[in-house]
Amino acid sequence: MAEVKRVNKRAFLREHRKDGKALEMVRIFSSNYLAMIGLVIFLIILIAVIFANVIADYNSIAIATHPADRLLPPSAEHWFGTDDLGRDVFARVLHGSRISLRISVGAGFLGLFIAGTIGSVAGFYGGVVDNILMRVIDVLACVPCIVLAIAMVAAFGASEFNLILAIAVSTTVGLSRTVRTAVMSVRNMEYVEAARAIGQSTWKIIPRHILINCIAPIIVHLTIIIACNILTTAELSFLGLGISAPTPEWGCMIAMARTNMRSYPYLVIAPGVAIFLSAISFNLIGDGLRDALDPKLKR
Amino acid sequence: MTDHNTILQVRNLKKYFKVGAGLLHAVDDVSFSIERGTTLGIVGESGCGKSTLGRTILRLVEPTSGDIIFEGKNITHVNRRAMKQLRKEMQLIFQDPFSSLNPRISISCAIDEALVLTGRYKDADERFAKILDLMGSVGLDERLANAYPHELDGGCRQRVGIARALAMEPKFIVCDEPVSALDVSIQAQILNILRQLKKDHNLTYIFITHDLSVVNYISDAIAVMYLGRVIEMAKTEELFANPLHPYTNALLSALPIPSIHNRKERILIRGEITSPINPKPCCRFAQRCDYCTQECLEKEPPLVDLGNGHMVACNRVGK
Amino acid sequence: MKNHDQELLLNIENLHIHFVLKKETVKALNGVDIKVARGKTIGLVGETGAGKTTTALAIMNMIQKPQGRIIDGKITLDGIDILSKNRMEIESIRGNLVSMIFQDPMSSLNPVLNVGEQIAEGLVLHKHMDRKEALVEAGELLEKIGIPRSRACDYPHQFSGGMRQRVLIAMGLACNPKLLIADEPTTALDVTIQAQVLQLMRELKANFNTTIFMITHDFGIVAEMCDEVYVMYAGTVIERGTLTDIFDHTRHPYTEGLFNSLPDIEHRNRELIPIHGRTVDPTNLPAGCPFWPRCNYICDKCRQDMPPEILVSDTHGVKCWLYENTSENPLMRRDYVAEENND
Repeated sequence: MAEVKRVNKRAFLREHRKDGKALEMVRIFSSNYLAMIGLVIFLIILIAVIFANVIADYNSIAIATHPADRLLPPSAEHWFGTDDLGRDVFARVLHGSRISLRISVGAGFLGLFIAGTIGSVAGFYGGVVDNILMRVIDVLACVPCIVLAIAMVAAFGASEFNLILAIAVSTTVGLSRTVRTAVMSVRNMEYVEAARAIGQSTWKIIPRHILINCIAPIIVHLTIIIACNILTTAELSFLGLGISAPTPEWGCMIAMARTNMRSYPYLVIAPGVAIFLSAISFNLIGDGLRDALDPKLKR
Repeated sequence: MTDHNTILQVRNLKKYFKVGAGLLHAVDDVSFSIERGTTLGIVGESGCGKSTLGRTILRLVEPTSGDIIFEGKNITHVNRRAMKQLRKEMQLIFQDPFSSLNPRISISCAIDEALVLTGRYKDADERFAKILDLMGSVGLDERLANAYPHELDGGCRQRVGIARALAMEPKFIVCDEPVSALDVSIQAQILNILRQLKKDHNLTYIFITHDLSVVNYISDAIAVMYLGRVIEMAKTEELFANPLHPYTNALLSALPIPSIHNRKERILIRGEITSPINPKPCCRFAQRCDYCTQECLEKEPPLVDLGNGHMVACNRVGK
Repeated sequence: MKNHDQELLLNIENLHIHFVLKKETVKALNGVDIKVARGKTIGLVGETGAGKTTTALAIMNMIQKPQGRIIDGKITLDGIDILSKNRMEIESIRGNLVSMIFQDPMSSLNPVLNVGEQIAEGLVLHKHMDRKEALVEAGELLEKIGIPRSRACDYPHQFSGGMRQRVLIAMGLACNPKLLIADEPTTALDVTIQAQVLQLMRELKANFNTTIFMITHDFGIVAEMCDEVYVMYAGTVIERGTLTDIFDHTRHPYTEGLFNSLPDIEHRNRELIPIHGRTVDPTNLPAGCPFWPRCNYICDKCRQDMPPEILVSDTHGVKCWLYENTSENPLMRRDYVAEENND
């Protein structure tokens, strides 16, 4: 028998290496300055989340009341002033980022899991399965997002996990449709048929040829969903359905400060700006990712 | 029945699709056989069912009825696992070089996927040697191993598609319009590669195209399809020298010849292809045919062998 | 000289158009010279990316700004300097003096307007008819292209591909333009339908006395329709001449390569001799003649300088250094060689 030819694959690829895919994505992403602004804001928020306790202690500063210091204007000591119970607003906004991000990102990924399953099954199999799943989604779509979340929180009680679940379910509607459309558009591509023609099995075709090509729209939608979730969390807390009183939550803080808004606007502005910045950072990052994840885009 | 030289035989193959308005007869009662090492060209205009026919033969589309006999074995109803083995023997080359490659998989990985499935290679290095070998045989520079499809032009992508099909070491390949999306200079390169590979590996092709000059160049025999039916089939020289069906005639005369000499008289056929949904039991070409008689509107002509392998489905012929 | 200018309907001189993108510059046109006499049909032949469509869009003054930049050159259409006109002036020229038929009949019609109305639109705009008159006129046009007048109220999706292309031709001819640009008008159609549409175009040309500027990649269509041929490669006309010049006295190695790449329907055993390499990348043109990396006849000069147009006969110009000092034809076209061997 003739000797089998061998070529060292790794060595060959190393020798002919060009810039990796990942590096190219980073380059495209970093050349988009709006996306970079989003990323910088996000990193600042991330630092706040990680070091919140180092910067300002939770129990002694963010929670404990200091009746003597109530409603102080912004100063070197209290950057954003203090609220009607004498708590430092800066510390509360800082700690609020932890809760806000935990709920919105958690709900985003939980929603992605639910929607991903529903959407990809519906998109890949089509027909009756698709019809049934999509009608269920249609029913959910008839109820406004926020009302659905309110109903769920009201029914199951206002714990943090319930809040995440409620928001996740309410985001499923849009996200599962995105996943379904993406899967459907890829399912009929010729390379999927080519994979079938060489005898590749279905359970390998789905991740290798279908899901990988759906990732871009899904990730982009996910970042937008997370931005929305930040707002929804705030809205629910504002209505008193989310996180309850002493816990520093942005929506909650605005609700509490509402009565004093005329005379002490900074009480509303600080958490408001925090909500705005975190939401917009996710939106900008999503925009940048859309371009970076497109394999057809040239360097 | 089948002698050893016949690689593929198709008997009364039908594929109907359910659509809103009724049954779409994409492939309707098609029978033919191909000898080992030859090329059968399938010609027809868009919507005549030629692509569906190719995919049905490979069982990428399940036939409604009929038999597909590959190497003496009826494969019409074999199960999924047996089909997986058969896929190694029969391959498909696609028309659109832009959508037939996964944009997120590099060239070498795309070919590697096929090599893994053959189960003939021990490890990645062995497969990689084969990848480079395959890329060489279709004229791809080995530096492109790492490239992604979007970095290549149409011709190179089509070569990757061919290399991927060859990786399975098939005996039989369905080429579905492999050159119609390419520029002429690249088209000629691909046609020559396909011809060379056929010689080197003793391949059998079904070559689906709408381009008569291409099919003339590459095929040994030609089947002309119209609305799901084969209306004429003959050896290539015979078909071009002596076309019998009025549609074949019109098709041949409609072809613009890149020469300013021997201009021919044109036969223009009127109208356009009729709907393949619930066709009436009459000659499918009747509405556009200049020789249409009452008989044509009442009876569907069968495909008749006139001897020497020239078959035609027309009521006019043989009288 | 004046007389000669009168005969010329379209004169493109030394046209250079580049598309400046973020990271690269696409050199779409690099010195195009085309002269079109009144009443003729001109064929512009070339492969993908040769700059055929850019040339056509330039004649319509439809180059996308700001990426598209006209670096140099002049286009004179019926005595009007197209490129110097402002938007208002050019809008009255488009559709009136020159109109264009696009390749894809599926996406070139507005799906929410019926075809009668779409044809009438141009008439209202340029011929200043009122809507009723225009609709009647549109019906007449439809009859002329072989579609019953009653179908004027139908919407594009109710027509097949061939019919839509006919409608587009009717729209193109509505205002009786002097020049009709047809950009691959039959590429998306089947051969039998293509034959019908080409036949229609020939008839209409005779009736309307329109000059046709036909863009195609198919030498078969050129042989059938055109009087003169311009062969483009990498944004420049590398060979031009009458049908006989190009088909029977091919001079440029690229044109030769194209002919050698075509399957010969009469002689099916004649091998195809493809042009090696791939089509040129307009963002990265080689120095000298753009064709030299694929050419079988290169000399040192080809790598350095772009050849000027050399006239090998009154009507036949070729941009190739092969003819700098000699008018001998060194090319080996497959069919010529074969014919000689037969003799």
